[in-house]
Amino acid sequence: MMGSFYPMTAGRTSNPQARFRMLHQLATDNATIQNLQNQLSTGRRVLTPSDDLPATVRVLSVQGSIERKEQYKENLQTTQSFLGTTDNTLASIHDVLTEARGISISAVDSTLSDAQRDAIVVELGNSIDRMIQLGNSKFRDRYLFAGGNLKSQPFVTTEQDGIVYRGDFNKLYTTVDYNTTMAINSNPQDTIGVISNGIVSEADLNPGLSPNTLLADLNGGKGVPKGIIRLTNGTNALDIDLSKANDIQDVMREITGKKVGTRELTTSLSPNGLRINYSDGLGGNLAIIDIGTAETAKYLGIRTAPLGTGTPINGTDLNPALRNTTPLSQLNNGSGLALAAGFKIQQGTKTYNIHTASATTVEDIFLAIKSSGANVITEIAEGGKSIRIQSIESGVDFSIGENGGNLATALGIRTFAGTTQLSKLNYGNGVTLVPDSVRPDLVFTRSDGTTWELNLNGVLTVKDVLDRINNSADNPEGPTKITASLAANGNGIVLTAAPGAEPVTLTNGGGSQAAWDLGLIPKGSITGTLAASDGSLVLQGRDVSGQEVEGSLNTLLKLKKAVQAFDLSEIERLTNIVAKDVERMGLARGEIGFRQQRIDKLIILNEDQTISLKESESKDLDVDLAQAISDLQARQASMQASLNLIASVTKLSIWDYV
Amino acid sequence: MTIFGFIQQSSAALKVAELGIQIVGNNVANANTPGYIRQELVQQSAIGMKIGQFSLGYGVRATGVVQKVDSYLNERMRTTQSEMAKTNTLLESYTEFENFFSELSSEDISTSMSEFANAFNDLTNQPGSDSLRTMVIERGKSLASEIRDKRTQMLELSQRYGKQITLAADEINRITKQIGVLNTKIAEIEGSIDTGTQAVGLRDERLQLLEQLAGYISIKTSESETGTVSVFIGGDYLVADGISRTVAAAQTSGEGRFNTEIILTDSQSALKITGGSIGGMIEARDRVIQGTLDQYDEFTKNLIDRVNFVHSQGQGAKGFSAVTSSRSVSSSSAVLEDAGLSRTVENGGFQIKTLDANSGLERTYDIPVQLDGLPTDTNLFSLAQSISNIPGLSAIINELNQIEIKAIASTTTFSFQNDTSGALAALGINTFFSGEDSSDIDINDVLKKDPSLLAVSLDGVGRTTRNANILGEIFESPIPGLGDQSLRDQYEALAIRMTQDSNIEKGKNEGFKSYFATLESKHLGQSGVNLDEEAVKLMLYQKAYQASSRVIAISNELLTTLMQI
Repeated sequence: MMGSFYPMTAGRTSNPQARFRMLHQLATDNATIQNLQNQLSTGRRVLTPSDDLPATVRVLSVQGSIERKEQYKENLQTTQSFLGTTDNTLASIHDVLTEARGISISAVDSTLSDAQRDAIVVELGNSIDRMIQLGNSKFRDRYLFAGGNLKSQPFVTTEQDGIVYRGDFNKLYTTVDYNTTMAINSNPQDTIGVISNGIVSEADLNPGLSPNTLLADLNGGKGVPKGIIRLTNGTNALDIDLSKANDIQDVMREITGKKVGTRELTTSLSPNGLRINYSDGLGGNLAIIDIGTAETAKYLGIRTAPLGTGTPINGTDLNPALRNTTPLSQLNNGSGLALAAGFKIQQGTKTYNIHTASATTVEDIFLAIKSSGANVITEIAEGGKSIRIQSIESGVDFSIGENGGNLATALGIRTFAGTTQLSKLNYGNGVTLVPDSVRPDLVFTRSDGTTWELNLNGVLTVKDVLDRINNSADNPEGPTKITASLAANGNGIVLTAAPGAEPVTLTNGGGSQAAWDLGLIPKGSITGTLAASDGSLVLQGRDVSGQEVEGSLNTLLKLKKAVQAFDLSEIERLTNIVAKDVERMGLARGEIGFRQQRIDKLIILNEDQTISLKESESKDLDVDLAQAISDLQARQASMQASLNLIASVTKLSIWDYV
Repeated sequence: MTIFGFIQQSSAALKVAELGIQIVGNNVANANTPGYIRQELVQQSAIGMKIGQFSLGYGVRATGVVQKVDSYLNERMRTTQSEMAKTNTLLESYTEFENFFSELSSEDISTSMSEFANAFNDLTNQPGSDSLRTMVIERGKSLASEIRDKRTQMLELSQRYGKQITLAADEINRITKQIGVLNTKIAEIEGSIDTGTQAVGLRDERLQLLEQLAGYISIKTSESETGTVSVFIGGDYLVADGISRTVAAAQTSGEGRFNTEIILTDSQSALKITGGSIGGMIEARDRVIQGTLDQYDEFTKNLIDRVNFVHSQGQGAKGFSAVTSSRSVSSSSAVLEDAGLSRTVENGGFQIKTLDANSGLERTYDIPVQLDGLPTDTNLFSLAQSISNIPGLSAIINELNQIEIKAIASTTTFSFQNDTSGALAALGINTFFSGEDSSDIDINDVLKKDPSLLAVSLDGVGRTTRNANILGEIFESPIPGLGDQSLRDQYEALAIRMTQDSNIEKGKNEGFKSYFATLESKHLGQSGVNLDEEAVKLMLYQKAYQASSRVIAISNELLTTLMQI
């Protein structure tokens, strides 16, 4: 805006000066009036940023915030609708399950007629169809229960009437505020239940350290903080910058050849750690420390006491995490695995042979599993020590066994291995034994007709059972010896004996269900007999390590089968599980309700914030109408006065009197 | 003294009064002529004569006509005018900047940034939607084209100044030539008369020309005794006496841009212009426009780099079947650190995942990027080799020194992940933007052709939108290399700095305006015509004329009396 003051100088004045002064005055008034008119017609006080610098500075960030907040609100609203749809769908699933619970309770009735059972089967079939339909629901082109898999329908029926889950467990996030995200979808495992508990090998596959091992994979995947380490022999210090090191090789390269004082350093790998030594190998003191609060040396396993230690310095086990690309030859501290035989995955009636002979990396094993067609998912378990395999096919049992070799056991994924806890067998119901150490759990009849009673009190694992049988004093070496072992193919306990005069049989001891629960005798049978095979007598036990998907679809599918087969104890087991399914669904809905509430609160907060941001923007940017109008009037009045003055002043002239 | 002497004396007085009236008339007539400097008759009493023992006055004589002007004040006015013209031009350029950045409106770059980020947010709300993917690309395109447009506008302003400077050179020549001519004339007129009379009219004209010249460039003047004015700029003279030196506009190039300078045609040296509208244009071009452009480019580079780095970590709705890096290296055997890439590549690596559509099998491969300062460090050639080692993929280096990665079988696709080296972003593989700065920022052609390659997932091809979540917040997230400033902070800082400078320039301009007004007021007060004063003078001359006439009449009566004796 123009300065409205036109300076008058003392002394002489002239007509041009007076004229300039008056013109200046008029121009100023005009400019001010135009500016005010501009403000009034645009509604804005600040027309260009430089009009009001502090206001501009404030408004710039406020405007950015408003634009962001509006998007966040959009995100929140969409999430709210998504959750609303999810909740409605879950409510329907909840209804189906509650209904199924009623049906299952009515099915635990030994007096049901065939027609009644058929009706129940039909009803359960309908429930299953309805569940599949609900599980495949969509919201805006997106499956509600497919995790992060955007492409395929999540629930698909298999040939053997199982239902396989084709989604994944990724979360989809939306941004609800600055750098704050919130999961939109619900984990299908927490709602419908689509996956088995999984076989996580307890064995540490223990990948060895190699020069190519990434620093990020060390310490079970925790990595190594990048920084500088200090090496000192007490007098001389050497700082080595490892902040650019990416793998073990880089670390070794940075240290090798450097000198502490006059002595050169050398590095090598102890199987699982770094070894640092003086090149001359003459021993001597060396300290490796971190500077300040850095922890590079500590996490590289080579930190020593501040005063140092004798050389060589043998670093601690760096415990590299498994990765998809970890070579199998590096596992077991670099001794690798026997891969030729592969292993077997059993799902219901289907057996999948996993061919691993040509596998070189962990991922190759995963790929071999995937290409076998088995309906499982594979991943590296948390902690980076072992692999995990989980079934995604509901309605059928799942187990992993050997294929004549030892690979499944070595990978720690065999479901029925020597180390398998008995408590995990039979869907986690374990093996029912007599509660004392006196009465027999198993009663064998040997080939010479004598019987042998075996108590299994105190056994914990499958191997314990085998040992108890094989090492019993009552089962000495000789023609009547009964040997127990694990099946070389698939799973199960195998009993072998030499043929004799009498058939070799076994039965449960009174009050024990060991023969049933260990899979040696079919449930409900009284006696099992070893049958002749290749010149000896053999009993091939069942696989009782089958695992199942923990979910509603699995329960319904199995319930349907159990009702069809009129397997009362199975119906009873499943009735309990349906109750759990209903409970889980209730919890899931509660969790979603909680999220909905949180979103409601966030929406209100967002609206409040937007309003106050807009208010602040308006305060800085918009014109105060009352102020502008009164300013305009004042200016108009002043301009009027100027005009009057100009008119009257210019009239005055001495020339009138000449 | 005789009676004839009386008459003679009075007739001289009449002449002076006539002259006086003529000058008053001239002043009155020019009262409204811009730049007119009032004139004044200088009159003296004529040299006395000794008659007998008396020394008697011999009437009045006019010794000259002078212009009432304060040349020191004029000099100051000219300097101020130069400064004012400069700040005016600067202010103009700032105003244009504010207009085309129009940061307070909803058509500014920060709004485009928000819209781009929002498009990613929308995609997270509906991840399966192809049209929302396309929308992200479109938003990106409009952000990129807006960034380019603003740059073009800035450069156009710069070019416009170049043209104006060229035109101004001719104008300067015209003015200096005229000043030279006037100098000669004034010297001729004033030098031939030693009465102190000034070459009125000519001086007015010259004064106005000097003012005009000062509007263009900052000048210094000095007036010689002969009445000529020398005009200097920096250490060079433009006009000395009647001689004027011609100037011309010349194109100079430096730092990849063309600048128009004003040079002296005889010595071909550039004038050191610090003020005037040309000084303003030069400063606007070199400091305001170029300075803003540099910051703007810096911002754009960061934007490209950041978005590309995040994008290069992700996977699209499908994998690549072939991809060519959008950037070239200086040489395929140069270590990636020194291969002329604008982004620094670090020791690290990335992973490539291949997917066979027939079997549905995905395989992961580590591609190391080794930069340890060793001869085995990764260059583009060795990178291509590591990629070619992946079964099913081939990588070659084309004649532009770009890497071309291709799946050998039509059923194989590939994707990238976990890049710790930044090599993908640096080479322009799986990136969002192509280009280096605001001159050529654009969407990567690969995405333009196929929006389904928009890398919104971090969990594999066609899964999740975690990368879109990150990209949706990209402008708000602090960037480690930028002192934890976000891109939006950086952009706002740029806009605010410009506004601040504009604001300061406004203040300066106001200051010069009111200082100039003071000087002008003083000048007008001194050199302007005051009609009332002229009226009074007229009356005085009239009365003097009447009185002298009366003296003649009385002398005549005396003579008549004498004659009648």
